[in-house]
Amino acid sequence: METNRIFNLLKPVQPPPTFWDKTYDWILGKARIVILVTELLIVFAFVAKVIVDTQARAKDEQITSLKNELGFYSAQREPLFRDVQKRDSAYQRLWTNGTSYTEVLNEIYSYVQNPGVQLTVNAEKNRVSILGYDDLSSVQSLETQLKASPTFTSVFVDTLSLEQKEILQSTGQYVLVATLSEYKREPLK
Amino acid sequence: MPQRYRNPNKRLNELLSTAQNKSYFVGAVTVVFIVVMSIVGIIPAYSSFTFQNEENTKRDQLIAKLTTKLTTSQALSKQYDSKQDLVAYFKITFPDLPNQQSIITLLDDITQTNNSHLQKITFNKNPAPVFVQQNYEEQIKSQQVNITADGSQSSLLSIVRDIENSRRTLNIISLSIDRKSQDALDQGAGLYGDYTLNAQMEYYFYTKPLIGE
Repeated sequence: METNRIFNLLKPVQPPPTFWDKTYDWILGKARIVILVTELLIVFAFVAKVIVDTQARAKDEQITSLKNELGFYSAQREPLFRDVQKRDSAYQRLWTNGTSYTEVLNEIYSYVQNPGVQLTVNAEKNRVSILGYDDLSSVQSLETQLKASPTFTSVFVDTLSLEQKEILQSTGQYVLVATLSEYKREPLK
Repeated sequence: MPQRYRNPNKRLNELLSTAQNKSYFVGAVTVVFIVVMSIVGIIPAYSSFTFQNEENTKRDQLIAKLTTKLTTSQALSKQYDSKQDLVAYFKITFPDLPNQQSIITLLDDITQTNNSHLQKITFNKNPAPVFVQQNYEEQIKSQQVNITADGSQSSLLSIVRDIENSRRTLNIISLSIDRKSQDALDQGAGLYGDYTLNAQMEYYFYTKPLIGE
């Protein structure tokens, strides 16, 4: 008995896609991309995390190493620097608070006309006293010059004593007192 | 149990039998996938990544500070080592102890250099009132020294100048320069000069703080 075999060699004809068929195809295509992007995001986030973790570990090691190195300086060297710094600061303060009379004395002696007579110069803080024995014109000249000098803020004759025979000679003992405008040292350079 | 739950495969096939349902299903699965992945993967990883990144920025700032400090310490250390002579000299000029012998030597040198004669030198361990008034820090200590020197007027003025310029700081508290009386000079008091300098000075030292202070 023969059987007829039927072969359909025609290309199957699909019904035209409906709206939902097209929507389905579109969603399927997009969904793949979205899932792929999501997976890529996850991979990126984890890779980034691994990178920052590795960096963090490296930085922690660097911090530890720096701290160890600084520990040496803090313990061994810094006390030396600080000692020198403190000492230096203290030294500068002491220096600046120190007195300076050289210029004042030089100036006073430059005004003294007759160095051969009795003369005592005392200096303490901002006060200078000159005790001398000289003729009155020299004393007056000394007083005038001291008053004219910017080194002194006030100058006055504290004592002037003349004995009888000294009156005739216009000679006597005097004490001139002057206040210094500045008697501290110049700061160190 | 209702019939529709008994055979999930059949139910699923029914659900996915139309393109509309398949669209809903794929859309829903995609959304669920994104939500789940966001919750369990992306958001924790991203927040952890950003947190670590912020921490790394802080670490970078710390490293920068430590590096600057280390560079400064190294530079200071190098400078300190290269200026050992200067440091040693500074410690001589501002010593840890009163070192009265160095004061004697210094004043003797100054008077000799200026062709004068150091007649007397007296030490007083107590600080001068003017020093106490200054309220210096505790480590700074002071003692007093008085000198009497004979010489010419110019040489005594030079002594005062040298004392004031001495790096081993000597602070003149008070001074007097007297011209000797003619009677005294006639009796030979002017051997070293016509003038006498009396100076009251203070000198300083810096005591090291106690360990642990």
